[in-house]
Amino acid sequence: MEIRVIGLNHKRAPVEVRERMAVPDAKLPEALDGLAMPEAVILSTCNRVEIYATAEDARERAESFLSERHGLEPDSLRPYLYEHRGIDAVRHLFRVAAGLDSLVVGETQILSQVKTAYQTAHSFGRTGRILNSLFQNALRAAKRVHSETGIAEKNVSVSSVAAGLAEKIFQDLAARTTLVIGAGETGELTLQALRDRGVGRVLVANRTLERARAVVEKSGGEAHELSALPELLPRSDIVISCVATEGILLHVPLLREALRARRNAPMFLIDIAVPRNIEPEVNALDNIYLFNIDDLESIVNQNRKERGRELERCEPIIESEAYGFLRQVEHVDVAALVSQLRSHLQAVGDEELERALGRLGELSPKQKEELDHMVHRMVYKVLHSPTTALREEAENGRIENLSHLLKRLFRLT
Amino acid sequence: MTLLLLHGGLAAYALSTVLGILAVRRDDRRLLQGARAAAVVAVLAHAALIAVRGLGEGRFPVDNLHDAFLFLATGLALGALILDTWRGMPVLTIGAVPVATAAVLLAAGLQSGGTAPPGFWIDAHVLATLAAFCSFALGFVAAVLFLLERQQLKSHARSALLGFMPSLEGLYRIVFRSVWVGVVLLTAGILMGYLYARSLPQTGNEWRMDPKVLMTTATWLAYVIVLTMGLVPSCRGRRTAIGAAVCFVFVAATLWVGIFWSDFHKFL
Repeated sequence: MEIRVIGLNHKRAPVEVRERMAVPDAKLPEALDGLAMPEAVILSTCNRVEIYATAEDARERAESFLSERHGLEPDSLRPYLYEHRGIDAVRHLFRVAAGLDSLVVGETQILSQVKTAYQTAHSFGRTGRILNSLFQNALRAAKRVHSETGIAEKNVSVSSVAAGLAEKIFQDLAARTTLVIGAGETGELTLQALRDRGVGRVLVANRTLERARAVVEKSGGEAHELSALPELLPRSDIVISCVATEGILLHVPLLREALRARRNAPMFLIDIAVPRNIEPEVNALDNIYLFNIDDLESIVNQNRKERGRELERCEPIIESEAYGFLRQVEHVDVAALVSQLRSHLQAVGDEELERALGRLGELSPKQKEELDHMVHRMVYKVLHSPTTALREEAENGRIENLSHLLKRLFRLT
Repeated sequence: MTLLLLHGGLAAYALSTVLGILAVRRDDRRLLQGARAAAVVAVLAHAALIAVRGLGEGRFPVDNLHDAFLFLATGLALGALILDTWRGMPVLTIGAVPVATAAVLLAAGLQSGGTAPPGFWIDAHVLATLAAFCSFALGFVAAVLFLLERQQLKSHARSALLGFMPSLEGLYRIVFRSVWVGVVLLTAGILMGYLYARSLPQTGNEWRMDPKVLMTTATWLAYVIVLTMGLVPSCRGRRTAIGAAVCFVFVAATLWVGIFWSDFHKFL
């Protein structure tokens, strides 16, 4: 039974095709029924739709399912589809789960999406021994990649870098107050990244109170006018400034005063405005950490390069996990095949023994026992070489052909 | 057996130091796990050594200079490993292990110099003082790491070390609490030593001018100043961390004085 994956992703298919193929979580059970395969998992995210299966005709079924479901001709769909089999399919899933095949390499959200896809298929009885083992191993491989390399730690967007730096300064973001000065898009994104990491209270100060209120409505918090800054700063641990203005908004004296009022508790200032809103000299104040847009972008660029280097360290882990999984599956297959062979030969031996005993007439119990032992010994000796060869081939990952041949020779199912 | 434990532990510390440095230089989490594992082996070996000696010879496990340095190394590495596991601060282990290695090297090269007289108060005095030194050593490691991380954040430098660092706030808490716990323990240690010295009938007042007693008092005073700095808002952060790092010189000097110049503390 060979593992196959048929699907399309952000590398092969444009967003127009991907969005038509997407299967929402709520429709997964229905889609799994539509596939009509004994073992199948559907992984559908904004960047990929993939069907993992073990059926021989998986490609045909997947193609017809996708084209029928989305009202497309199979021919028009075919150029976007890829198929991987055996070790390639295993390697592909392991890379997907680890985020190595993602648009943003190393992102970790895909891991929970793979987990959900598997759990859904499992709960609807669509996974058997092979796919259960495959997905459990994929989740394990992804965790290994994340823990043994730094691939998931190198943020590659300005907002996530800023949020990551906040975690380098403050121990507990939930207890922190963030002040957003200006209600621009980058400011909102940075605030969202901080929110995702559990930042607590939010204050928004803007030239117009209405716009500040609009931001607060989406993310919660308090809305203020810019004139309230001297009162807001002492309450703020993290300040994101992104006001389109010619002048400096936060000067050294203002921040020195804020620090004094805060009893010198640290402040993290993020100036993502151009021209800058925060006087650069404030970075010289003790317990103030200032980063401007250039600082953040240089970290982003460095992280991109480092992710590229980390990628090289991830691939050997994927390879070792993929081959480890195959060996594990083949070991189970070999054990089952050996057991089948032994039962088959033993049944033949028992049948012949029965027949011989009938023809030989009266025998003593000792003679019967000796004949029985002889048949057992013959079965064992006949099977010894094939069993050893099977195990050796499995060790070398070449079990498929030999197993197929043995099944044909002995008419095993 | 004891030699095997001593040198096996020392080799594990050395391995942990090398793996820790490589983990930071190469930004490699697997090497970090190796460094941790080697540190655990070292701590277990030396804890076993201290226990075996104490139980085997039927005495308090720490009663000479050799034992004292071994105790310091084990206490420091154990404290760092506990905080590493509890708070997810691997960099503490990486920072503590080289200091522990240096202490064990000193222990391996030291002659015992005599043993402490038996008695509950002297044992309690030794234990409290050494535990205080362990706490100061942990504070020293955390303070150095705090200053390194602060410098990197201030200069916007990006290094692999920053990736291993916990939050500045978390490190600062360890610095302050280590100093706080150390001062309490050292106060208790000094008081118990004083009571013990007073209880000896044949001893006069000359112990008061013993170099080690004077140096320990100076250490206590220095750390009390650092503790006070930590409570003053304008000194919170960098200044307190510098204080905790610099004052470790007093701990080193106290131990040094004990080795060469102290008549009353030849054993420790």
